Amino acid sequence: MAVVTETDLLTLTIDGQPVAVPRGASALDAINAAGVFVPQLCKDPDQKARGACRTCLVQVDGMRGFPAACTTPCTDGMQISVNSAEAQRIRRGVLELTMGMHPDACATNRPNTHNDVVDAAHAHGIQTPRFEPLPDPSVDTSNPFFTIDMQQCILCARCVTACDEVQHIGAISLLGRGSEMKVGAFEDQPLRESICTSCGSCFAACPTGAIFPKKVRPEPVRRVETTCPYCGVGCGIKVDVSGNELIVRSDDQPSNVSSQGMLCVKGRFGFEFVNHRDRLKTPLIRRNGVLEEATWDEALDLIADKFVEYRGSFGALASAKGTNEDAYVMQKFARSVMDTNNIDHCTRLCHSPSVHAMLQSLGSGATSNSYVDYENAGCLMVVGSDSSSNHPVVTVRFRRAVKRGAVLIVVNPKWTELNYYADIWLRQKPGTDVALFNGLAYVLLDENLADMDFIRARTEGFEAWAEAVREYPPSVASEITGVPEADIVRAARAFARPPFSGSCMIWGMGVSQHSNGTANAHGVINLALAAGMAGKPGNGISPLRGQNNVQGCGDAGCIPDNLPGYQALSGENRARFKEAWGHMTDRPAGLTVTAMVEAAGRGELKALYVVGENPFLDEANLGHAQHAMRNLEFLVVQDIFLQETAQAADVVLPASSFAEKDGSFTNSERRIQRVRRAIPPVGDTRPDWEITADIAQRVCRRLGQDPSQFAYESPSDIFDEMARLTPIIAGASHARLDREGGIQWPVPTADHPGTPNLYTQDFPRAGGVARLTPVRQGPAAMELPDDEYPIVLNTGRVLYHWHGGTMTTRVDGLVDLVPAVTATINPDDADTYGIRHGQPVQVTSRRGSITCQAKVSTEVARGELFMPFVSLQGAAANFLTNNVYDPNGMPEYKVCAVRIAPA
Amino acid sequence: MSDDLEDRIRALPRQRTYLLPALHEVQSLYGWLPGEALEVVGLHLRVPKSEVYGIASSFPDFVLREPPTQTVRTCTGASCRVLGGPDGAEHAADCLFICGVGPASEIDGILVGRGGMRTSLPDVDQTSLVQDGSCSRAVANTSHAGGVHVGCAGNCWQAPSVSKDGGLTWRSADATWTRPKGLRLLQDVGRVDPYSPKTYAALDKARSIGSDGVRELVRDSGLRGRGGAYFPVGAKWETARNTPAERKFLLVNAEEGEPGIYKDRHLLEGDPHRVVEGVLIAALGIGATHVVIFVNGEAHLSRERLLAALELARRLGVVDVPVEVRLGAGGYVLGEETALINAIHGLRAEPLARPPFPAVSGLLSSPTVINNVETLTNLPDIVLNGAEWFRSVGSQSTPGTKLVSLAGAVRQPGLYEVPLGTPLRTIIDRFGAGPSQALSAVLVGGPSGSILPMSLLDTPFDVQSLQSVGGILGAGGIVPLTSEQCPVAAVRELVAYNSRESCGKCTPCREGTVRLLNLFDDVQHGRANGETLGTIDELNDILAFGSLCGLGQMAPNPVRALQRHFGDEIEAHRGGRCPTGVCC
Repeated sequence: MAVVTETDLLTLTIDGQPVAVPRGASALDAINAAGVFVPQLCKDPDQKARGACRTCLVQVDGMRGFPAACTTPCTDGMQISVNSAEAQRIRRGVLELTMGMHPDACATNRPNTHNDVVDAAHAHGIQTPRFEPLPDPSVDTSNPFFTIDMQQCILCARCVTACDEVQHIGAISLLGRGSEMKVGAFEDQPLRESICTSCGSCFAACPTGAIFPKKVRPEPVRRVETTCPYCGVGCGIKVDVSGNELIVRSDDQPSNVSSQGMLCVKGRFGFEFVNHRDRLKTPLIRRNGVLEEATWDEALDLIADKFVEYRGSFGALASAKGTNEDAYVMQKFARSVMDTNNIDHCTRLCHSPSVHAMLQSLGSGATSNSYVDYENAGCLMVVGSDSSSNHPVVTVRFRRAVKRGAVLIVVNPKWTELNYYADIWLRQKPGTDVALFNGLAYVLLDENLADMDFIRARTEGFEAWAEAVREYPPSVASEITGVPEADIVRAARAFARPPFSGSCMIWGMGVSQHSNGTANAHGVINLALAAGMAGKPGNGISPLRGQNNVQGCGDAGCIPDNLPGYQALSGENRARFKEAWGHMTDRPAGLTVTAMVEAAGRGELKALYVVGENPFLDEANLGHAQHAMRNLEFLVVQDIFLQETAQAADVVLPASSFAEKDGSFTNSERRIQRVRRAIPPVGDTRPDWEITADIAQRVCRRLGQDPSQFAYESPSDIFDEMARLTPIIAGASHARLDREGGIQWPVPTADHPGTPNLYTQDFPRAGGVARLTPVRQGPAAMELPDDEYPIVLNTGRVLYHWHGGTMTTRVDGLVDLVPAVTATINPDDADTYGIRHGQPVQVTSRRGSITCQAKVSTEVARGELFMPFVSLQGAAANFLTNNVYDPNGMPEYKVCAVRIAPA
Repeated sequence: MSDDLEDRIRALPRQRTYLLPALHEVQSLYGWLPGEALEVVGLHLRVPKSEVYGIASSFPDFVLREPPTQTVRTCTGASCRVLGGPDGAEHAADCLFICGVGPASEIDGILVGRGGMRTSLPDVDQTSLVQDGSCSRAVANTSHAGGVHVGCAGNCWQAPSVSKDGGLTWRSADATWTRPKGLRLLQDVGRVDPYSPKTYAALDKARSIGSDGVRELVRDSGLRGRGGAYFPVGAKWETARNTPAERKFLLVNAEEGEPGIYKDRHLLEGDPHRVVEGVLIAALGIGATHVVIFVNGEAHLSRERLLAALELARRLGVVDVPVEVRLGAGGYVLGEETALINAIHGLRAEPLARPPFPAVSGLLSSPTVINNVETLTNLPDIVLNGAEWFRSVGSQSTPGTKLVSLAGAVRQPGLYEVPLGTPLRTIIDRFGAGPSQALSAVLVGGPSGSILPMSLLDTPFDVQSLQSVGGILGAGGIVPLTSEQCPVAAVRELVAYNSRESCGKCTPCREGTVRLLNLFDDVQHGRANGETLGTIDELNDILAFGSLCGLGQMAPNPVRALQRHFGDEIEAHRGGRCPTGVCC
């Protein structure tokens, strides 16, 4: 924060009262600083003044007329009269005109909204409207979350600014002119038909209640600042709690550095699941094949007995949705009590190839830069990521970059919303990313665009890598990928020589969820290194993390081959942890999620403790996975809902949701942020860390180990223990996070400010340099289309659902927006197979068959089909996907062969 | 969408400032703006399509719904009504800018004057000058005529005419006309071929005295802006000149959207070279690195001849800054400088709060001087003849001549150049050859102007004198009304116009002009109660003091003038009686 010195301050008077404001402040800032009331209907506190509502008109000595305070800059010695009779008269006149725009401005506030016009009118002695209303009949009720009622609108345009300049969506705009002006979407169509993403920023910005929530909820009594539990962006949210402990709404948190006051639809409206009637509220034990309610003691003692019995054939799945503290306790339990490294979490199913490749090549598996670097970059290459659906708020940063003139390159077989802003679209054939990235690298070498200084000083392995790259001139790459040669050349040039600043390499599941995912990730990383795009502001290497705490869950050690903070399972490290924990497994690296499923199928893994994960829906080839998991002798599922895996469990433990517990999440830019308890645990639920620690203590007692290792008082204690053992977060604590807000690791000491950019000096590998890793294009996929299954199925997500849908299918508005699974098919293919838009279709692979709804669109190329993997109305894409794996255990979610027919 | 459209749109740079040009491309191709075409535009310029649609809808000239096969627009402006045009029409136009040959209409984009009466031109020899401007084309087929085609020298009422050796040899109207003496701005209009090159003597001289010298000369001349605000040109230039910046813009406002004003069209059609020369002199004086000329989207002939003159000048090698011509799409509010800048930026045509003033931060946040075409056309002679010469006519505070768009109930409606300070009566009697019928009132200064009674006809036509009687000079429009016309009804149309043309951004103007119109209707039709006039007074204050820009601030002007000078008529209307019988 800039230091304000006295010379920067201006002194002025407001109605005779002196006030000091920094240079650059507006008269309105000064009036507000002085605590004098003046209406300011069109001024959003976080946006620049529009000067349109004319309700902050004042008088200023030496100025003619009645300047609007919001657009009048302060000068030293300025004398402002807010409440002179004349200023009041003019403002009253403007307010009377304002009130004429809607019928009941004097009297009412809609439920769950506040009408600033009412306050302003009352302050100016207006009790009844002077003018008959000129009603505008336009009311748009098409959005499930909120209604836009032009009868209450004063055309302040705050909603339009929020949509266009905060979220950079641009779904609504001011339409028409003069008295015909209104707020509306393209061609004045219903909002639902528009590109609106239902983020609700318009609703949050509305000062009159013209945009108001459809569901009336109790008025809140408390507000708690916490972190959104959906995706890895980690937006700050403020949840409002009613007197009867319901989460009634969520608002954005402008002071959050990662989200800057932005939110997406899930972050603003997606919290009905917390108080949903389906929440698990008591432990369940399977008795005679039926899950029956049980006490905590019954359930935990049974679990402790069984876990002791299965020590040696036990595995644990931690949750990327839980807190760092939950995750730390989980892996500590596995390693120090259950004597196993069989601990993993869903990173396996999203970014394990990326993390593996980054660890190999860069020495760290995390995003190298910060979100702000996306905005400052001159070129963004977004690979295999529908970020608009999956990371909506970080995508705003991309749009901002484009508005600043950055070149956006989208690499994706499928059209995504981001393509709207793209300069270059590299539409490769599925599974050919290695050839494409080698082709791009070829251009760098061929045209002397590679950053040879960087390569010489900061990398190794150039020769071997270059040899592989030279096999892929653009003509060859084009042949394999289907991308025109000219586009490959253009993209390579733009990435290596952005118009300003650096280039950011950003990728998602489209890189990793392939049988050659690790090779893909290497290809992507190699290109960034060859262009020298790491270690400086405005450049960097970023896998976009999926779950809210997939970064933190890995950081906390819930991976089978590393200790917390990615510390190797070395003798020295094991010894250090053993000293701290009392016990520490001597076993080698453990099984991955996918390996555990396969091991269960073979009967080698007998007991599984699953926290907040749903392998019955997430694994590829669900039929096979479910079969394997049913082979388990003892399955414990700890979750907030009785989801698909829980329904098959022997014991089900009811966990508290994010809203009911304290702790921390670590987001995609390595920022550790606080999670705070907003409401007491729903029903009989308990926070995950508490349940795991209780199980651990019971098992310890049975094993004769010291249970006090798990006698934590609070999540803060857990964090402190983790920090003591984990150098990258050693300087963080809950107290510090509360004081300073989120901190980006590495944060080695308590006075370290955190690290926005990794690799500024060296890479955390032997020799301090990165490695260029030669990769060559293998078969595009393990299963390619043939006569019987002629179409390539690609899976992903949609904006309105999260993952399998456990949370989002319990939010009415989200289900309303996307009620069914859709299969997107190219119009040509639709013709071939006799499929019409909106029609039910049957999609079949060698592994399963599901019925869903056809969406006919050129978003997908001919011969390709896209389905989100959310489970809706019993249909889930993962019944079709192929359980073949990348060397790091990543299933090939992105490519399998299917056929389609009208249902 | 057609490939043609995609090609045309993709040929434009991917910058938001090309939104207006892109919309013009679409409209020229389809005659309106189909949704799919707007999507193509949004995609290319990376502007959300809702905004593309919203911005297009803020300009009156863009058509957002598929029009019928034939479109007819009928002018219902004040002067056309005087000449027998209708009071209302299904597709009414506020002005078609050929007031000298009213009543006017437009069929499928082609202007038709004199209620559709066409004139046949005689055969002319190659050395004859054929009057061939927008007015002439609306009443005659000029394209086949031989001779040299020149602009209209202001004798619109006679259009088309043929002259030779300085004298008329043929005219369609039955009245004599001799070219007035002492013309400055119009000296070559109607005499030179707009498509032939000229010498740039004034520009040469300007370059020899340099930027500082030109600025000094302009300051000393006392030239004030002819767009309507009469701000000292030298002061504006000085501000831009003294603001350090890499880029500086001269933005020439040739939008000319005020009803009843057609002076810039005459200059651009008749002597585009003088305009170009003025522009280049100004660019020199300001130190402009870029020039943008913003031309009214329907002034096709102006644009064509301006572009031709620019091309000739380029070939002569006298153009030393990039000059870009952009097309407007209507909107009275574009007379407001910041709204004009927004329009070029590809934003809604809405004004912005000041500061910053455009001369400090305007186009692309760079210092920008916005001058009217007429203003700049004064420059060549100022450079050639000096500041003293310029000050030798006109009034002390507002020296020079002013172009007057004189239409309505006069014998010779047209465009006249008069020394500032000339009494209104002289303008009507000498230039307009007197009233065509008995007069009752005169509209001066357009929709932001005033209505004056006959008793004030000796008021000098300049800024201060008009101010003292509650009027404004504005862009120089004068429309005498006949005694058969009701002054209350005439003002009502101005109030309605201001309401229609409100951009909608600020509450006082958007809401206040609608309320004012409703209340005014009550007065006009005898429905006013005891409070109505008081409420009108209050609204006038709110509009004047509360509005963001001049459009709203000046919207009360005609109402106030009516109250001041025509109290009896207002009282009669309140009592349910219209003295002329027009309103009841």
